[in-house]
Amino acid sequence: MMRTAPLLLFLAVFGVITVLQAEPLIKEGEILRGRFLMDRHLQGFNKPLRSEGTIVIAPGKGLVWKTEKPFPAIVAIGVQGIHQYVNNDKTFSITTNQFPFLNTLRQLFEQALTGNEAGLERYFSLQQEGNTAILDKRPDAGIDWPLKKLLVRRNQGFVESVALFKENGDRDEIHFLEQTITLASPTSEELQLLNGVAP
Amino acid sequence: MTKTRRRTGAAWLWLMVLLSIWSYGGWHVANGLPLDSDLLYLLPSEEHDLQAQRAWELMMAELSSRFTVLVGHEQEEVALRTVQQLQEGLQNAGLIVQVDQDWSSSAKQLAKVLFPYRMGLLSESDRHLLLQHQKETLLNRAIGQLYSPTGIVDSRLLSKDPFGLFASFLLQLPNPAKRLTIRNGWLHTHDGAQHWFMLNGRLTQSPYSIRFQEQFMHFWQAFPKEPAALLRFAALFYAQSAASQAMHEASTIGTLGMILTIILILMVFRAIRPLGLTIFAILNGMMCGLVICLLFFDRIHTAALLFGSTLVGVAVDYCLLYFATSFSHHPHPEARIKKVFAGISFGMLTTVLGYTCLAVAPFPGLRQGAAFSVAGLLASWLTVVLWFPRLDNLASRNPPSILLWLRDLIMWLWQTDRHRARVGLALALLLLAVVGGRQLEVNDSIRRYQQLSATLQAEQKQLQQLTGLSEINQFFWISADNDEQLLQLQEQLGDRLRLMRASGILDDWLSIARFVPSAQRQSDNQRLNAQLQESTLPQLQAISGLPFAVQSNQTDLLAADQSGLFAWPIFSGAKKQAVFPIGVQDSQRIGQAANDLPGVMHIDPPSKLSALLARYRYRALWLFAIAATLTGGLLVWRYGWRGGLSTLLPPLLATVSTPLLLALLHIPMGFFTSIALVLVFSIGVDYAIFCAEESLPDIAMLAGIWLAAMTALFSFGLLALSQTPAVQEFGLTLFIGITLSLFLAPWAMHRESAS
Repeated sequence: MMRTAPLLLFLAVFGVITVLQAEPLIKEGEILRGRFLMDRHLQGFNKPLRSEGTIVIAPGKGLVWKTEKPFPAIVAIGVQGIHQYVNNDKTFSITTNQFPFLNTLRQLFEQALTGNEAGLERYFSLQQEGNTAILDKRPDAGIDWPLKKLLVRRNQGFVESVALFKENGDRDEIHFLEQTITLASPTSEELQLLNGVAP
Repeated sequence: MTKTRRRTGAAWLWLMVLLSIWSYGGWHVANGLPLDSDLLYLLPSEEHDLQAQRAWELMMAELSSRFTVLVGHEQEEVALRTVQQLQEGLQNAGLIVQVDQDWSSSAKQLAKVLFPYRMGLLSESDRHLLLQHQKETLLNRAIGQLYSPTGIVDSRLLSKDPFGLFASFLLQLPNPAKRLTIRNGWLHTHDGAQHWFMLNGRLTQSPYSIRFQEQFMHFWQAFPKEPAALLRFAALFYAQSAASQAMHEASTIGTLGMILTIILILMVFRAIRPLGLTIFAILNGMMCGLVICLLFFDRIHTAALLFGSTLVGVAVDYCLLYFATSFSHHPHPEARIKKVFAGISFGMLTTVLGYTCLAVAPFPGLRQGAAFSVAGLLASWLTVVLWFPRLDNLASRNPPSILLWLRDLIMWLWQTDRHRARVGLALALLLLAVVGGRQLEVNDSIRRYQQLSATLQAEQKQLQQLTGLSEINQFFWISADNDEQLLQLQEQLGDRLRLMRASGILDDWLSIARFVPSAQRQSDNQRLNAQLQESTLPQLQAISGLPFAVQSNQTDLLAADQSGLFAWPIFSGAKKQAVFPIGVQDSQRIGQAANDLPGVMHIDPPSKLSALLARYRYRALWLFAIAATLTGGLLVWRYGWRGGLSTLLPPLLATVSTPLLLALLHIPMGFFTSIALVLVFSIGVDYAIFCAEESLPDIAMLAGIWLAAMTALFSFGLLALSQTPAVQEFGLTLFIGITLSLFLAPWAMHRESAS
């Protein structure tokens, strides 16, 4: 579990982003593009790690998280696994063949994208306060992960920001900007990244 | 003392011995026989490499004691509750060892134990990068992880392992069941429709003990499984299924053979006493065989019991030959026993010789079967010789017309005017033998003899698909003077297996050195790790702006026995010395990994067993050649050169032709065929001797042979109906061999008399 907990955490967060919509945010054949700004607050370190870049979500295909600053890096989560690229080299990779549990996580993500709450409700209890959703880890979630709480704030049909609180006091704050939904397919480069091919 | 008084004394002495045997055997039967179905018990004990033998036995015992069940249901709580109840029930019944099933805490505990020694723990790929001076790659990975949404960015971990080397080490640990995760402290998987929880246990007793199997199955059948689905993967269930089938067949085939024999005796003799005395002789033989096995063996294998149950086919020959004298106007029992004494005694000697040859083969199961048979035959023979004349009151009678017809049938070929028919049949037999010889195939593969339950195999396959659990059927066994050498050898072997994994020869391998490297490698890893931190940590600090502290001052080494790993089922007991390849695609090439590594040997039980069967098939055929030579010598001594050869040739021809005729039925020659051929020869010699003892085609003698052959076919031949491939081949070989022996036996009759 210690191997997959951070990933589960991440996917759960992005699952929440879309499940909070009354209607599925994006449908099959559509993709969401946007920018992100992430502040990672780590216990024992004075200043947060700040990064920014672009994000692409394509239901059925996966997600591409492209960090531009301060250091260019790409994380692609596809059907076949998770791949990390730095300086055009693949520096980290976990395939679903190695860890078929990733499939379950990807399915969870897919369910969330299509507005299917059943998958997420197994792990979270949901509470609404204005335009902010508070998601607490369910004590009977059955999975031993380090996530404690999520705060998701919406604005004009899109998720504006997510705050992620961990058991040890670490915190990630992610802001989403310039979000658009289009019918266009992912680019060939994005598809290659999702398939584990370095740019 | 007169001859009669001596005989009387011997008869009463034998009765006393019989009473003792029945008392001892009866007591054991009443208290439960030490029955077993362990395949290992049947394996050859003549293994030159004692270390390999020991390793094999240890590992097989270790692996066979594992018990795995997957419990599934659509509702998670139902599946979880059922698996918890199953574990509790099995533990309370004393069937599995009490274990801490909380995998979540076990995984955490392992990480806690390993973490302080992280400087010496490197994944294979990270170690390779550092040895190749590719520090840049590790730096890029660390930076990427810092800003990755999926990165392992726990602040406590990051400050102590900035390059994520420990996380990488954990990620590359071997995982024999990849599809399982930990949920509610249990190993869990979900197939989209059902939640599955895995129960892993270790049996408290041998899965091959019939008594333990009965206890276990009693619990298993009573356990309320509904509404959950249960999938089984354990040697115990296969062993129980095979033992149950063997016992069922022994009972069914034995009973069927007995019923047919009884009907035949009643039909031919039209009297109860021959039947009663025949049963008396057979039961004495069976009990004597059982008692000998109880005295000389600590447990009795079900296969040996099945083999012993066929004894009835031979022991009954003496009885039938004796009572067949009632058709030849010998009214007095003393005269009857005198007439058949030489035949049945000489026949008994040659049969015992054949069975003794089996006992020479170093297969404990065969030895047990042979001991059972030899003791049983002697007991039956003594009963016939010493007690039949005292208990027999059968009047002389005319043979039924069917016996006269059968006499004519058996002798038809051997009339002087049937020369052309004999030549024709000889040519036909030769032609069939030539055609069969062209199709003759030798196959000793153990897999051909395995008759695994289809239901259990289907359950195992589904369980493996759901969990990704690999079947471990081969391993490397490593011997060393101390733990450090053991780990170093595992690492050297691991370096070779890593290259093979890259070539797709195997998926992975499991060894303790992958969790706790040798002290030498830990020191080397510490050096590489320190070099990385000294040279590259400033760059990581500069890019991230985080003030990382150098961690290179840790020099403590983790010892395998301090790791707590030996408490894990996968490394308990003998497995400390073993390396298990997972997902092997090419067994032969895997074996080459052990070449030139002192103390490392590759053990592939199925291949090894097949090779041993091939070796012992050769041995069985040599034993047959020796038995034939010895028997030939005895026959020449008794009947002269011409008579001896004409007595030897019928069983010899029957024995040699049988595998060629089997080839026409696409049955390959194997170990069990060869062993059956030894018996065919022994039985065939009996028939030939009975004929050779007569100067005329006497109705009594021919009736005796015919009845003996029929009863042998009822017991041995019926084994061809068995569902167990080895037993089936054994039975079919005997069926063909005995039939040929019956019709060729009159050749042994004195030529001038036969004409």
